[in-house]
Amino acid sequence: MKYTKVLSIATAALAIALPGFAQDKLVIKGSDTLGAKMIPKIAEAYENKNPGSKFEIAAEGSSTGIAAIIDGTAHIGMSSRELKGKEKAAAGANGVRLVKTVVANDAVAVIVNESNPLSKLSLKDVERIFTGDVTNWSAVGGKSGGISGYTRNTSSGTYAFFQKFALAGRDYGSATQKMAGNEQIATEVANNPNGIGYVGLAYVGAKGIKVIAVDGVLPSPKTANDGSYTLARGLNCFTNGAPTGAAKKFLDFALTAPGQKIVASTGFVPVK
Amino acid sequence: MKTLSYTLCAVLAAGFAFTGDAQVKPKSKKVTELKFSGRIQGQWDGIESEEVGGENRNHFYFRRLFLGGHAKVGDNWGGDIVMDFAASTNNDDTVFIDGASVWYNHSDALRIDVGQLKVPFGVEETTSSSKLKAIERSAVNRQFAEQLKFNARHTGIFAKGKFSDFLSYDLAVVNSGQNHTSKDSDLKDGEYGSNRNELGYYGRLTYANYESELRHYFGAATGVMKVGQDGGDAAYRNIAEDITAYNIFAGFGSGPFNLDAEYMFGDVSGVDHEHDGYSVQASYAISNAPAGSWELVYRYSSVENSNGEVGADEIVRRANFDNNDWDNVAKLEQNYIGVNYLFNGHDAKFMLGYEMNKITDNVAANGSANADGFRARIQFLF
Repeated sequence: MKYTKVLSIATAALAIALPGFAQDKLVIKGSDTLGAKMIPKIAEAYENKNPGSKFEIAAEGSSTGIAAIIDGTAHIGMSSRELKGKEKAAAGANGVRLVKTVVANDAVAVIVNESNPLSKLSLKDVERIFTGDVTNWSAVGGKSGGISGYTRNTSSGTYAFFQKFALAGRDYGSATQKMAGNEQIATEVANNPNGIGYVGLAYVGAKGIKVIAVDGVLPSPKTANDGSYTLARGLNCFTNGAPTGAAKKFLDFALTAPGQKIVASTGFVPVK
Repeated sequence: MKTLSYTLCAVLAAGFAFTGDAQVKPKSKKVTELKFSGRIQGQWDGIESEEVGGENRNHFYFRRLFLGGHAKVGDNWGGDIVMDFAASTNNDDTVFIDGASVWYNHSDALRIDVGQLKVPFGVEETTSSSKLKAIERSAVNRQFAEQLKFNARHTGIFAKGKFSDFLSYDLAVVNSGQNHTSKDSDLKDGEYGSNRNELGYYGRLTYANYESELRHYFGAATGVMKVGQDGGDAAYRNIAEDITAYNIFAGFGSGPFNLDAEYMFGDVSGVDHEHDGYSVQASYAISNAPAGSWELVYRYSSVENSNGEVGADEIVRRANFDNNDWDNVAKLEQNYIGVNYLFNGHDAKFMLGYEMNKITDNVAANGSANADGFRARIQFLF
């Protein structure tokens, strides 16, 4: 039968070609919050301790990390938010069990330009600003001037976390500008007297910006851990099933004292 | 090709303006979200057809060529349109509308769509073709969606929402017949025809929990659609009255293993015909991270109608039913075994499967015939 011949050729070609794609390095994808500084520094320390180990780290947003685990294109998916219902369903349909390892805690800080006289905002005012309900600083007790809002892009876990907990799930205003990462937001806010944005705790030391107290509480390791700061969260690494092999060794290392020391040194909150 | 070019130009000219730095922006300043989407499915089918009346099929072709636009205005309003440039029903330079709707999302509890969408009947039918594990949908699915034109795409009003994290509903009030374009007021007719001035009603209740160790979902759907006025088999015109159908479904998953099953039953009043069938699909995923994953699939499906109205020619896509002995039969049993390689999830994947169809025609005393063959598909999404 001629179709059997075609099938045999196709199967043989597939069997020969596909193992060539397999690589022995540990591939980590996902959140910019985890992947810009913290995870690369932990990986560097791990490499020093385990010569010959190799990493490929891509920090393009939490959604990309979770999708990579579901799609089988990474060993570890970094995420600064919890799973969405659609992701749980997609994982199930693909036979993937997403298992979370929390490697650090964090707080999302609301930042303004250092020349802005405001030092605090209510959570409701934060919502009104980022949804576009108010467009002038005078509406929230500041000096008159048009507000320039800076947000992360839509594949960012911080974007989704902030939308859910600061904006009560509402859409961002159409005038807000989307930035690729925390550093870009801090830079834009530092350069714009009317700017406002949000960044992870690790980025609050950037020059030219000021951290705003939300509902009277400033973000810090202490307020992130004791729950008094509203916009606190865990920083997660997802794997397909319980971590095994190189992924397990790396995550175990991240939770050791040296690993958690790096967590603290990069501005995040150790979990151990 | 001319249609494709014209339509692409029209879409770009009507909805979008390019700025100097090559960014794509919506014409309306009120748009808060704008996305393009595309789905390319190239396919090869090699189906043995000699037993059912024709030469064997050996075709490369595009199974689907989707181009879509999706936009939101403010928090609650949005619109979607997806066109298929490869649909087999294309004719007279028309482009097949795979889906189009204007929607209002009130909350998780209620979203309303007005447009042309799939009605909530049949789990496999309402699963995106990009996520199917077998290359073509099951025999029982195609009997209800293609032969009877009972479910799949209709035009009307749709509502869906969640009662809780796990319990959801879908409702639809639509034209009683499948629609294609505004150029033609006739509805797409199935074996029993359609009824252009009547409505169809559909509802579905689903319980789904993907968070437990044993992932599971189950539910039921029902619908009623008037038939018998326009098109269809002349023998049933003005005799067949309506199709009332039921669908029960369930699925379980643990680790890399998934099992999905559904049953459909339909009664055609006026002619007293009953259609019923089911499908069971098992799949197993093998991770090859970070280079993708394998997926092994087996599915069995069977569909029957004692009056010989199982549409074998509709069910076995691309089989060559050159004479009419085997197009409408009493029973069709289908086995499918396949292997998929997901290079990057569903965004880039290759599917290969062998489909075995046993066609039995007790009504015309033909006995049985087989239409077996391979299908292969390459898919890219953006």
